[in-house]
Amino acid sequence: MTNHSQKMIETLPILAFLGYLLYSCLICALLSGDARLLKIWFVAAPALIAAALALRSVLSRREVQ
Amino acid sequence: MEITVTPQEKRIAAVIAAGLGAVVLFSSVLHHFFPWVLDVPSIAGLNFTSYPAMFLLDLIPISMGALCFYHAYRTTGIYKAMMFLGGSFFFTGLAENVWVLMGRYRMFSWFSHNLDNVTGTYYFTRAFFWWGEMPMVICLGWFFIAYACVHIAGVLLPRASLLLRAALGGFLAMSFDLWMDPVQVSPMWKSWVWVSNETIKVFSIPLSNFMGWFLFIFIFAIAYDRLPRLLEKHGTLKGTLVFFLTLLMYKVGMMLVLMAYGALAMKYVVPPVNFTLWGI
Repeated sequence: MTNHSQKMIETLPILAFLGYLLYSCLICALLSGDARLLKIWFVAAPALIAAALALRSVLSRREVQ
Repeated sequence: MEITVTPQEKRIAAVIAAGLGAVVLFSSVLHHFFPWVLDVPSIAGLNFTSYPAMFLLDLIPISMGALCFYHAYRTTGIYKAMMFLGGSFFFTGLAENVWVLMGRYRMFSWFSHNLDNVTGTYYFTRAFFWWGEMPMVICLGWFFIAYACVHIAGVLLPRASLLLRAALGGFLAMSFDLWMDPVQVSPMWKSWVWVSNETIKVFSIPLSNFMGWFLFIFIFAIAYDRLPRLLEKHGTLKGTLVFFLTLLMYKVGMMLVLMAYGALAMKYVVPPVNFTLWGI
């Protein structure tokens, strides 16, 4: 397995989490038509920030030959 | 890195997979075609309850679960990946089923008379595939959210202790659910319905739900981390059984803690409190 594909595999759980957050929170809140449900997005900010930082950390790992 | 999986580990993984499939098949048939057996509440008037719609909605978390399972498979091998998946289904699925059915049949009084007036807990509305009386994708959601949150905690704090990583994983999952739960119970979706009269609520959701999110992931992460030591000590088959038995004990302990909390809250938190923002 190359470093590049290893790195891609390491991102999969983070992408799954972000993808599900996008669907079950953001998209469903938008479709609900209730603007209040969008306004409380910040309660999930710790999860969003942690996922974004983890994604950046995985992608910025140096590739070793 | 090459992952070595023994023939016995492969057999156990296959047995767990077959067991999961059999329960899902049985539960789905029971739920859709014999709803009177477990007094399934009516879902008349709810959106997206046709079979094609429910099937398509189920595919979204199934895809996310597949990504996490693939990661687990590639990095730890089929046995450990299946242990995480099967353990999640067993740990959270059984607990939520007990919770749903205890609420449906008002079975809390044996624990404390403070719980005599509990109106119920909650029930799930729509899903194509079921795991007992909870949607299969909710179990799968527990699997991949737990897996992803513990993975994220591990990436962010690679040198931290297990307790700290497990706590961070539980906290991240709880933070996620603080947004997801109010959205999913909104009138448009009603993916599940709370019928609980628990006295402390956050965004009109019982506080015990968020406590459960933290505790389940925190405890499961610790139990799963100990799996290699169990296998080393007891061998593959016995180690696997001890792992599931440990999960069962943790689960019983956790449910007793949540019921003790509920009994105390029912007695001492009067009138009920709801921490809301913008009336949510």
